[in-house]
Amino acid sequence: MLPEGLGLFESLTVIENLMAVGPIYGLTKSETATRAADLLRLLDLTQGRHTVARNCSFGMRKKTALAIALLHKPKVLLLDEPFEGIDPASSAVIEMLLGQLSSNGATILLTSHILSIVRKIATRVVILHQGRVESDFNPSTADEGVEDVYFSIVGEPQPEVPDWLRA
Amino acid sequence: MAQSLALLSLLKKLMLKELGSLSSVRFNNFLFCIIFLMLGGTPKAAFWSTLFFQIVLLAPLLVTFSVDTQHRLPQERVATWPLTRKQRLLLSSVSFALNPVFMLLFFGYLFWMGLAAGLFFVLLALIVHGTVYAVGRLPFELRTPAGLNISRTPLRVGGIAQETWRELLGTLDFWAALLIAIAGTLYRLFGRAPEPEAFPMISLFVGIAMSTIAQRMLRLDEGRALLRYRLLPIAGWKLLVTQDMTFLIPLAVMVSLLSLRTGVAFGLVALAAGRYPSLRQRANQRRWRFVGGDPRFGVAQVLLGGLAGIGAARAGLWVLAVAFAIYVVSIFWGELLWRRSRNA
Repeated sequence: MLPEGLGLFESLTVIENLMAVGPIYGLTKSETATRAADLLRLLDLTQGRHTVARNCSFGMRKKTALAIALLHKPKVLLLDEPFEGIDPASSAVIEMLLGQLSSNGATILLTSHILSIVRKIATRVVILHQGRVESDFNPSTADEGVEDVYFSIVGEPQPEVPDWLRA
Repeated sequence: MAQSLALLSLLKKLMLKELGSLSSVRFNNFLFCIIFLMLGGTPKAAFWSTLFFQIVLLAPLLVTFSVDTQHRLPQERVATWPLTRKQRLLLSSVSFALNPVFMLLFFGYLFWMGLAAGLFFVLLALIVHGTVYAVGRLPFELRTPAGLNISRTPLRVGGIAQETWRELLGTLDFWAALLIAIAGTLYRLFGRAPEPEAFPMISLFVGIAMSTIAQRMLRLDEGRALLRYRLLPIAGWKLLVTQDMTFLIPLAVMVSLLSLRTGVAFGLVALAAGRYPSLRQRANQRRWRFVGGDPRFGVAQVLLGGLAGIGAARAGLWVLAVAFAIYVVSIFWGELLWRRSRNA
């Protein structure tokens, strides 16, 4: 699970966070170390692995929490905004990873406001608006794009830029 | 001039809004005990004879004021302001001295204890603020030595112990306790005629200095890891015991040359009495501050823990066994509370 609050151990480094969690999920120390090294390399965290979580950038924190979520190779993954604050390269890696896990039979439920990514990776899209399910469809077979469905529900934004910003 | 006035006005707003220094020292068992002891003596005469306790009390308190100043004026933000280095240091010092609690203490010392005490307070404040300011600007990162890396042990919960230990090091309670323990141990080892009756009392003081932490064991990192603890497949009692041992072992080491049984008995009861607020209250702990506790549980910790500690020193090991039994009951109860909060 990748929760909104991330749930990191703030005074542990990135690598220590992974090493702390692995054994509790039943992995041996050496298994955890191998998997952690792989995930850090994949998510481009190797260089910053000795940074204390409290001092990490938002993107690094998010990727660390994602690495923790993937460490024990769960069958069901719940991800809250996994692409928010992530650099494009890591974002592409996460897309590929999720595709791989999904094709291996894992169930992935994710929330996202980045509709372009949702369109690419989701096999089923549910749009919630004001606490209600407004739409539930398969983006690959739908007539309209995800953005079109979304804006038809919530309405197109009509921003009013103040004069002093325009001048 | 207009720039300086704008900065001062900003500082005033930030300070009045926050006043974190005051809230951070509320209901801390150690501070309460110190104030109680100080009130017991004749203030003016007691000041210089209790200089050690004054420093133990004031230095960590001044650290909180200084940390608040750094927090109020974050380095990254101030660096973008059009100020010279000297102006930045001056701004930080003005912000530190303008702290209402700082001023209150200064005038208190000045009027009730005399000019010398007031000047002593200002000198100590300058040293503490200068040190905190310099440490915050070190060109390298301070790291925990690898030898203290508990997560490398074969324990499955080593990571949780490591996290708790490092958060413990970020509280001023721990350092105040260590200071008392070192002073007490030096007294025992090198004092001219150390009074054996004093050792249990010093151990008790070490325990009291750390005891409020036991009320906030799960939220020493502002409650951020709590979410992870809830997600991890770990039994509540294991989590609690891991955290408790991270509290109890350093306490035992600190009092090992004073009165081990007093310290351990106090620690066990303090952990048991702090169980409920630790699991149920949502009071997050900020770093480099004294831990703020709940006065009801604080009184229970000091009184019951004190009874257990003195009892263990005077009546024998059976009191330690009773303290351990109370602790075990609190673990079972804590497991129930943990399950309830996890399922809520």
